[in-house]
Amino acid sequence: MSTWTSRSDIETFGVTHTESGIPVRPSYSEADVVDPPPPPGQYPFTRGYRPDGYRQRPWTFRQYAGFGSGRETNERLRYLVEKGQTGLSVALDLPTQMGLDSDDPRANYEVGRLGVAVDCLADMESIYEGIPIERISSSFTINGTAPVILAYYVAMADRRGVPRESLSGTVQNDLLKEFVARGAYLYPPADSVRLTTDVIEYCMVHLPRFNPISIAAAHMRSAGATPVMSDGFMFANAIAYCEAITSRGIAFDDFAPQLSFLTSSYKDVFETVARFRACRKVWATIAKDRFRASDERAMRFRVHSGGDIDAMTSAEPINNVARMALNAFAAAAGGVQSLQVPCYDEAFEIPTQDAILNALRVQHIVAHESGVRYTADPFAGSYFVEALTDQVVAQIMAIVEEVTSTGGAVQWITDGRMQAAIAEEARVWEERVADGREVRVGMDGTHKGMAGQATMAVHHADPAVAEAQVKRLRVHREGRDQSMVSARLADLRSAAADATNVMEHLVDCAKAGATTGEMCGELTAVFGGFNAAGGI
Amino acid sequence: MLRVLLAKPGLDGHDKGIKVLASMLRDHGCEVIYTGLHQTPEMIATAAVQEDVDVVGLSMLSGAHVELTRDVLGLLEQVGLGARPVIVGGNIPDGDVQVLEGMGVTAVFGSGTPYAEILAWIDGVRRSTGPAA
Repeated sequence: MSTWTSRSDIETFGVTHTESGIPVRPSYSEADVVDPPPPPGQYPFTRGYRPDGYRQRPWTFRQYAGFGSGRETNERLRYLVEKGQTGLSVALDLPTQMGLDSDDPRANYEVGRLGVAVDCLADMESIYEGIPIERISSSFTINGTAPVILAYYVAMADRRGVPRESLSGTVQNDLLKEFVARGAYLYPPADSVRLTTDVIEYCMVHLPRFNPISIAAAHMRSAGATPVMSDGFMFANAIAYCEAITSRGIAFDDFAPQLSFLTSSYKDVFETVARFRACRKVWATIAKDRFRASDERAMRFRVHSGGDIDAMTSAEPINNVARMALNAFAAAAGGVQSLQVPCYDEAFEIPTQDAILNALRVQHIVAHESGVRYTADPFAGSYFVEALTDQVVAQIMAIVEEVTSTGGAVQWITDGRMQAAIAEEARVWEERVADGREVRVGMDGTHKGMAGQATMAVHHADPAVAEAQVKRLRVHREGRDQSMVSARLADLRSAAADATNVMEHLVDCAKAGATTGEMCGELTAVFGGFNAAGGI
Repeated sequence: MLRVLLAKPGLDGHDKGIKVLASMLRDHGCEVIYTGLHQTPEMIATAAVQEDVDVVGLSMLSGAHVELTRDVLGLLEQVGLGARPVIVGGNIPDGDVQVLEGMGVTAVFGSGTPYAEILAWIDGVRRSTGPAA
């Protein structure tokens, strides 16, 4: 496969090739800048959307947080806002991500473990107690259950009297990449895409400031893809969603301004800057040429950088703070809209409060002490960065072309082609680590296990959390109007079966007191479940 | 040929490591059965019986490795496979390695373990299961 560069045949990263395997020469000159991009604010937006970059305000500081119960998560979120976080990012536990109630046997041992459990509207309200949802945006890393979580959020706003059109935030809601990389899917691919498009359509009409999807590369990267490969597949997936929506007769210019993306800053600072610049150009080109966009807002690649969590080492973990600073600086120099920096203890456990505060402070240091906000797109005009940006654009476009001309993303994923390409690249990386071609400072081959853990406090899950959550859920079920719940769930099921948009029905279910497991159960009854084969 | 069941117990979807291991074990001459994601302990025990495997490997990055492994070990015992070696990988804090070994896990290969070490361990199992394997 020659569409993308692989790391298979390169020597040492950091000298002769970029992180994605793009060859780099010892020096660059004016002759390498073939097609210098227009100023910031002009199509194709390689240099960003604002003529003055981050001068008026920096990117959104958004650290991922959530564990245990709604109350504990509420405390953590309020603490971060008090310390200068400007956007919230709520981590939901795995059972919630998989549409299971906390008392489902399949949820055993995982309730409140990696995120907060949301079984019903009351849990959402407990997470947001005292938090002004009309003023601060919230991002939810939620996919299979995205329609349900969004329904809770809308129902909460309705009950508070907060106008729906004032809500801002994001649901990840990118199911295609779940089949490729992350595994939190509930329904078969076609039905999943249908629900994704229900959410997009609903937000277009009712929640104009909400991002109904965050089309993600980051998880494919974590599964083994090179950063550039993951960007190429991300755009191929984006095209598949856009085709699904336009096939409902909705104009691209009407929904595309609300699309958002998730691709991260990685250890290679220059490649990261080039990638964000390239992604803006690629998406503007796709929007204009493929979907005939005329509204410039529909051409914008608005992106959250999720941070290079996999780069965090368990050996000498304090070194991770240096990686975090480079990571944040590269994202800022690349011009992201929203940023999460990984935490220094991420190789061990979900982060402690101190570790999240440190990550937030790293963002503050980059924003206020590094000078990265002096001028828009500060690396523009660098012979090297301009040349690298062109190479990344060419490679991403080649991947997009290859996928779309051979069946498209849904077909590729159904056939396991994306998965196979990523698994192959994952193995290449492991072989590079094994023979010492991939340098991870501090992880010198003699390092074993998690020795660094002894030097720092690590998060410890409280086993009482799950028990308390299950108890609250049972009390909730007993206290509600069961006939109302049943009626609303029946409405939901018929909407799902009739191909009517399910969102307003989910909001009604949420208000009636239906649980996450019940709502997802109705949808599963219509769509069926899905279990991908091993995929190798 | 040594038969290895690789399984992902629980709801965690991180399967990069287990897929790389599956591919390396196949190249190393093992018959690998990978269950895919979201397996309950019951599903894993059933697969171990049906496939009559020599080794069971579990990978978890959800933090629930102690509880899920305990359940799998208990069920393997019940179905008469209590003597088969069980290995565990994933995000396993140092303090939990002894806990897992104390429960009956044969070896723990946490994130960052060189794959060569796992292959060497497999060679050891092969020798002990005799020439037929």
